[in-house]
This record gives sequence, structure tokens and C-alpha cells, in this order.
Amino acid sequence: MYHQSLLFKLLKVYDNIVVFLFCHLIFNRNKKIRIQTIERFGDTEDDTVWQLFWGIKRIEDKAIRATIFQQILEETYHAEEFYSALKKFGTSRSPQSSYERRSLYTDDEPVWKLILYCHIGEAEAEMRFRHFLKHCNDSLAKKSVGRVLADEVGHVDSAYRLLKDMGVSDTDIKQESRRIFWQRRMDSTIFKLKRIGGGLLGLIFSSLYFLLGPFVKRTCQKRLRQPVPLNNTDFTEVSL
Amino acid sequence: MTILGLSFGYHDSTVSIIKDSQILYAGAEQQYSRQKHDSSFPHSAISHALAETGLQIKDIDRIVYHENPYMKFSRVLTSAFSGFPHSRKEFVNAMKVWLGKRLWVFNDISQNTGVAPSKIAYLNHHTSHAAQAFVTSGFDSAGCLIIDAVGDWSCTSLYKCFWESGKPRIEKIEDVQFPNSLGLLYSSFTAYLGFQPNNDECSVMALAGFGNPVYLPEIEAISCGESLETIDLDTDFLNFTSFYKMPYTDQFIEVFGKPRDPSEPFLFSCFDKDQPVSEEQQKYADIAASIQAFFEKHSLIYLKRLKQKTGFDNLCLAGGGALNCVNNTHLKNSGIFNSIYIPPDPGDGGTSFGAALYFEALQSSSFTRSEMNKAYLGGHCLSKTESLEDILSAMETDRFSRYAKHGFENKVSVDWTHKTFDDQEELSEYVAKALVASKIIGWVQGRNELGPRALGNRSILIRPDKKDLALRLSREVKDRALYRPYALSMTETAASEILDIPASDTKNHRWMQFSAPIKSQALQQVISGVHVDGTTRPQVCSQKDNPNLHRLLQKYGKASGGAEALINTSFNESGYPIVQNSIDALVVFARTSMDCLVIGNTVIEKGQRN
Repeated sequence: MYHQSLLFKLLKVYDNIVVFLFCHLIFNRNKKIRIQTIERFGDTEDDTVWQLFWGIKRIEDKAIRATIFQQILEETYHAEEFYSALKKFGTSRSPQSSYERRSLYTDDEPVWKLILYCHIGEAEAEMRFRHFLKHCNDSLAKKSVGRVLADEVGHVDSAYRLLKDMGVSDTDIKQESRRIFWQRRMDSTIFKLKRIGGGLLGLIFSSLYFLLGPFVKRTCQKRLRQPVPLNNTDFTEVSL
Repeated sequence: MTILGLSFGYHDSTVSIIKDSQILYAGAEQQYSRQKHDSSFPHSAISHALAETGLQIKDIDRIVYHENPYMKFSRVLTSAFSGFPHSRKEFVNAMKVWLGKRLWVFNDISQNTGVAPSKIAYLNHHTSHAAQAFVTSGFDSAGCLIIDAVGDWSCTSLYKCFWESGKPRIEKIEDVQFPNSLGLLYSSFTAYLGFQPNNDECSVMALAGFGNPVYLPEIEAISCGESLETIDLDTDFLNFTSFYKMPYTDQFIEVFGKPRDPSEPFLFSCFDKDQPVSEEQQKYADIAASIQAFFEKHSLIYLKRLKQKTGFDNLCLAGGGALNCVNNTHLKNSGIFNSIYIPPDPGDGGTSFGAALYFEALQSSSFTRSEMNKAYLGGHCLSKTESLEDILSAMETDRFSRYAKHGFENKVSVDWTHKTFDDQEELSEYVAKALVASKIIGWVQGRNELGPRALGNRSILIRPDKKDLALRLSREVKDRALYRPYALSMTETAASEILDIPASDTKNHRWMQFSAPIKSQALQQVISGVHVDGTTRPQVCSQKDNPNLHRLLQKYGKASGGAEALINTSFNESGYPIVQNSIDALVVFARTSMDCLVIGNTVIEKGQRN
């Protein structure tokens, strides 16, 4: 299974270093980042619920449906764990935090791939939570992560059993696991690059702001004080 | 002509399909994405809308979008630059969002749907609101008042609407533009009181019932110009450029004191009016009452002006402000207009069908106007091929309790039984008996409601005369603050016994948009649905509106020997949107202390609690 593979073992070493640096340099020092991180943990669990909702509708086997339903309950519980931790920080998940849901697989792909994806996601989350517990010093975050982690233990075997019940061969599992591994690394790299790109864009837009601001400030303030009549109630055709 | 109406990008993404003058479907993305007020592109809602209506994307003749993105961008830029040099972050964030995505909304629509850009049209935001209210109102002419946070530029708009040669004419006669927004001001106080703006305004409205409007002069001082009749917000106190971060300034805090800490829950309770609260909590309730009073006062000023300028007898209300049922009642009772109409979802969710319906009315020669008479326009709870029996028979419920709602782990019963009824009468009788036996019932039927109100297709129901039961519902199912009152659903017969309103007013109460006083002799019968001020937010349900709920209300009245009325609250968990389908409903049922779940004709019951 995935957690015994060499790729996973290498990832484990890398992840430990990343989590160590993240916790000691940022997370432990910045409350805002702590809140954002916990919210993201909750969102990840919640997105798994959504993906499983997608999956359960496509499964005909009653027993497998029942197993997936239980997973939905469990992931919902985990999401609630993190969202309740937010409340203890004096905040809650804002509707502005909503993001576009994208199903991991298209309707014509078999559901076992989603089950495997979720399992790999959980295995990696378990690994990350272990590292997190080691390095983070926030008691609230530790408590929530600890509770979720306790649930994740033992999932590896049950996921494998479920895939076998669905009649998936070891070769297929291995091949798809590898694809998912690289897909997840790619997604994570794109996410990081986007953040770097966002930082660079921020610099460009900041320069633009300071360049244009002094010239347009008065016009903008005037516009806010003296509204321009807007009587257009007609449709506009789009021309791109 | 078949039109796909879309609203997304800010909050409450919604999809509607209009065909031959009829709204075939109107539903929100949040029902499928399970994210409250989801603003993202409505992928799931579009595919469900098409499946529900049996259409394919190639059948769509036009797509209509609910706002003018370019005008909105100009407002965002103007707002950001007006705060120079203190608004750099807001400018940078706005540029990233707008240049990265929002400015290219029509490419986005075209790419995601496969419909050519030439088939897409857009309308300004407030006209979409006005259309949603007027075109479906059934009125020949009406004055239309839109009270919103902010649309493209407009915050409050007055429209003159009438039909001319079979076409609707919607003419803007006045608008109040950003930043002088009554809606944003209300939302700023929502944030100050420790709630989420654009989500928890209803909590402010509920809290207002416990306070006195003693801070009205202070609010007027920062919100009105020399004349107290106009809104002229002082930007030294309010900062809408970074609205979601901090919509009020340090000077605001100097006037009203420190903002409320959201981790300190309010102790006010609708179920115990004498519950003692701290001075600080009373102060926050007084501030809530003051902003509510300000909102009502200024809405009335706009209403008078609308009457003066149009001379019409009918009023249409829309915009997020029209979700404030206390204000709606205040406007209705002013008697300035003879009739009033509010669509089932007056907020942004309704703009998708407003714009689409208006487009068809203008373009099609065969458009037939009709009054909107139903709010059940979303997706079905069960897909055509889905068998509830299959799902339930394989469930191993014994492990469910472990994943119950926090605080209730291992306390929720896992002993589930289910039975399916062939006869609706028998089903209603059975559920009525369970209600009489003080069970908390999840009631999921047919298509879901458009808008934020549960109107009996995705509802949690309990008997209305037991406070303890309502408290259990609040604590063990809804995780709901006790100062928020529950709403009541009742038949027309019960309405005449319970509500202190004229019979002619009954129709206004079909979608829970107004509050109504309770007759003193009926108070004990519906005590759990009464706010601290002696009012309730009723749904008066006729047989035509919702036959299943109507039947259940009648059966309950008969079985209990009391009024044909029930507490009706939305079927969701705190922080999540109203459930959409059977799996969604089963998840909430499994996690909470709900006793009984009815999906279509199947009743699922839990045994004795551990």
C-alpha cells in the first residue's frame, strides 16, 4: 500500500522538515496564520466530505455505499473539530472563505479512484498531523489535530480492504497511487508558485498604487461625494 | 425561448432556467457545494438544473448575468484610490481578484458552459433585483424599492415599474450610490456586534428585540448629513474599502465602545425573558435595537419618496434589505402602499431569475406574465433512480454515534428503524402522532425552496407549545443561540386563531417575510415560536402552496387537539446551508439528536437515546 512505498517514505522526511520550519518560523509566532491554518485543515476535511458525496451517488453496491456514508460522517466530524477550534480563537469560518469545488474525477471515471485518492490524502494528512503535533506549541491546535489523528489510525488497512471489496487489482492500485502522488505534488507546487506569483504581483500593484494614487485620489473622492446618475436599465450584449 | 440566468461572484451563486415565461428551476450553488453563501461559479447548480429540467446546454438560447462587472470594478477602484495612501492592501487585493478572475467573467461563463459569448447578456444589479420583484408580482404597476449592501454602484434604488403593450417597463427614478449604503451600515454593526457581515444580519434583528434604541442619535451623527433625512456616511467612522476585514474605524470604537468578543455568547433567551444579562450585553442589545430603528426609519423615508414619485398603490421590495422581516412589516403597516410583494428570495439569489425573466419578457413576443406562486424551484431530494431502501438497509448505524455532533458523541441513538408508507394520509397521521409525542422531526419532501427560508420541504418541525423541546432543538440539533426566535408554520384556519392580523393580510405571510403579533389567548399554544416582543415570523400555508405540509399541519391539529401550527426551522447544521438531498439529510440526522427523519414517504426513526 501507499504508506509503505519508497515515495511516501521520502515524502515523510521532506514533510517533517517543512512542518518544522513552518511551525517554528511562522505558525507558533503568528495568531493570524494559526487561524488560517486551522481553517484550511477544516476546509480540507470538508472538501473530502464533498468529494465523497460525489462518490456515494455513483456506487451501486449497498455495503460499499454504507462504508462511504460512514466515512462522510467521520470527515464531517473532523471538519467540525477544526471549525470549532476556530470558535475558541474568537472567530468562525467566514462565508467569504468559500472556494470553488472541483470534483477530482469526471463522471465517467470509476469511483475506486476517488476512494484511493481520499485514502492517500488521509495517509499524508496523518503524516503531516504527526509532524505538526511534534513541532507546534499551540494547545488549541494540538488538541484538535490530536483528536483527528486518533481517528485516522487504522484507516490505511480499511481503505485497502474497501478497494479489494470493490474488485480493484493490486497493479491498478499501485499505478493509480503513483499517478495520484505526482498529481498531488504538482498541485502543491502550483499552489506554492501561485503564492510566489501573488507576492510578485503584489509588488507590481503596490508600485502602481503609489504611482497613480496621488493623481487620482481627488477625482475618486469627488466621485464618491457626487454621484453620477446611472439610469441604464437595459441589457448589454457581451462582445469579446 | 430558453434562458439560463446566472448570479455569482460575490455571494449566493444561483442558477435559474426560464422557458416560455415559466421559471423551471431556481437553485443556489450552496445546496450542492455545502458552503454557505457560496459565491463561486455554479458548476454543480448548472448541471443539476439541466438534469432537473431535462434540458441540455445546447437547448439554452441565451445566458443572462445579473450585474455589470465593469461598473462594479470602477466602483472598487474608486473606493480603493479614495483612501490613498492608506488603502494599498485593499487596492492590491482588489486588483488580484479582479484582474485574475472577475473582469473576465464572460469568458469564464463561456468556457464553463460552452455557450458562445455572443449569446451572453448582462443587466445592472439593481435592475435585476427590480425585475425579480416586479415581473413576478402580478401587479400592473408598482413602485419598487431595492435596499441592498451595494450593487454595481447603487446601494438603494427606487424604480417605477409598469406594463406597456405586454412588456415590462422598469425605470430607475432615484438611486443612492456607494458609499451611502443603508445595507452596508447595518452590516458594519453586524460585524461590530461580533457577527459575520452578510450572513448574521438576522441575529442583529433578533437581538434588537431585547434592546432599546438609545444609540439612535449616535448612529445618526455618523450616518446622516445636516438633514437627518438623508444618508451621508462619515468615512472617519466607517471603512467600506476593507469591509470584510474591519468595516469600522477607531473613531467608531471611541463612540460605541469596544466591539463585542464573539467568543462570549449572548445570554438573552426567547424562552426566558427574565434571564439576567450583564450591562455590557444589554448595551450591545441596545446598539442592535438602534441600528434596527435607524434602518426602519430610513427605509420609511425612501418609501414615502417612492410613493410621492410614482403615485402607484403597489409596492415591490427586493435586495438583501428585504430579508429583514421586522422592517418589511414596518413598511407594510405604514399603509403608504396598499399592496406589497416580496419575491421568495429577495436577495442576490433571486437576481438570476429576475434578469432572465426580464430578458425573456422584453425579447419574446409570446411572453405571458404571471404571478409567482411557489418557492419550491430547486432540486429534488431523491434522484429518479435513487432508492432510499437500498441506502438504509445496508447501513451499520452502531458506529455513527462516535461521529455525532461535538458534545453529543456516544449520546445519539444508533438504533434506527424505517418504514415506507404508500398512502400520504397515513404518513401524515403517523408523523403527526410523533410530533404530539414531542419528537424532533426532519421533514424532507420534493424540490427544495429557493431562498433562505425553509418553507416545509427542507424543514425541522416540532410541536410549538413546549419550551423544553425548543430548547433541546436549539442545543442538540441546531446549535442555535437562544435569543433567536423560531418561526411558525400554520394553516389558514390556524392563522385566524393565532395571528392578530386582518384576513386580507394572510397571503403576505406565505413565505415568512413579515412578522405578525400573536393573539394573547393563543400565546401558550405557540409559545416556542414567539419572540420577546410577542411576534412571530409565520408561514401561512394553504393546501395549494404545499399540500404535504398542509396535510401534516391539519393532522397535527387533530392529533394534538390544539392549533394547526408547528415550529418550522431550516434543516441544516449551524454553519452549513440547508440540506439538499437524502444523503445530506441523513448526515444531519445521524449527527444530531433529531428523533425522526421523513424523506418522501419513508420515515426513519431512532430508538431510545443512550
